[in-house]
Amino acid sequence: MLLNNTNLFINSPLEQFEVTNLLSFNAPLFGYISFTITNLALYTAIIFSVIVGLHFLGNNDTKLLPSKWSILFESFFASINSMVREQIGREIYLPFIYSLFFFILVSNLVGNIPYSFTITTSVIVSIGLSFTILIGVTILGLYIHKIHFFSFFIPAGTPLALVPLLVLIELISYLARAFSLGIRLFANVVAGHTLLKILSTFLFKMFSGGLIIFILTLLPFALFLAITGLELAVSFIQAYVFVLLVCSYIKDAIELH
Amino acid sequence: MQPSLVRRQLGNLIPPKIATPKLVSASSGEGLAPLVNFYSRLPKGPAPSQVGGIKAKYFNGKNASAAPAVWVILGLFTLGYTIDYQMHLKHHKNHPH
Repeated sequence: MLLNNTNLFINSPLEQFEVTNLLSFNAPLFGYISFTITNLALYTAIIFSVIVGLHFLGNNDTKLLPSKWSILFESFFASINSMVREQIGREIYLPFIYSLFFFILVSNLVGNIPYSFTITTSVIVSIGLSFTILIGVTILGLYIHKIHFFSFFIPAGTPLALVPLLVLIELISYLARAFSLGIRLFANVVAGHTLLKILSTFLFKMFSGGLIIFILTLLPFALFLAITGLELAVSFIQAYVFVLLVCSYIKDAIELH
Repeated sequence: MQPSLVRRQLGNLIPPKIATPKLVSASSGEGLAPLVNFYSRLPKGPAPSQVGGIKAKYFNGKNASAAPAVWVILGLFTLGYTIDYQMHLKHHKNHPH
């Protein structure tokens, strides 16, 4: 059987997550500066333009009758708004939560386009985001409650003897939030993209293996399409879960249990 | 009371005589000609929409369609493929490993 020899290589399914230099600029200035545009930077810029562009173009110009685009954005806004109202109760955090949601959602969705780069599969983005948020939330808690913020680490009604142990446990669980928030997003997206890459490599081999195998492969291909749909759903769910948890962390910092 | 004083008092009530039919439309409205000329040249009909381009074509009102989203997806696919091709697909083209 004559195999298609030009495409026999198999790349690592993890190669898609590599951050590569697209454009570098080194200059012997200020010591030695290296200015690099990576695919991460490029796609971050693209995501920013997509979000701002869609919101600019999709807005309704204060007309009474909404267009379909403005209905879309208004429903997103209404959902995020109700979530912030229910969780935090103060709408001052709404702009932050809304932009965070759209950033994660659009970066996940852009990542679902074949050959593109998903920025949330970079640890520096997802963990960096969650760490930044948790540091900010801690500063917020300290700012509001001053020294009383540390009562957060002692559950109500704890016997004095147990306080050192419980403070340690609570502190660890508090710090673990910073990791778990980022890792949840990162791991879900990475797992999905790796799975799709592996399956599509298999499917490509099977589709190029003769007519009968081609027809038989249509069945797993349908399954593959379903998994792609699942990935789209994961993009939404992860963005939603991320902002939901950020809401509850902010609430914790404001209300201290 | 002096008559001039009465007139001055009434001057607040009686508006000054600026335009009378005779003054404005003397000899069948010649004085209004520049005005008529100006207004007759103004565009007629409802005011055109202030926004144009992509927003009017694909986003506003009944023109709202999914076309921009499809174009963004196609554009990003092309960009991604181009980068992928230039970064490594090119090297594997004739040298499988």
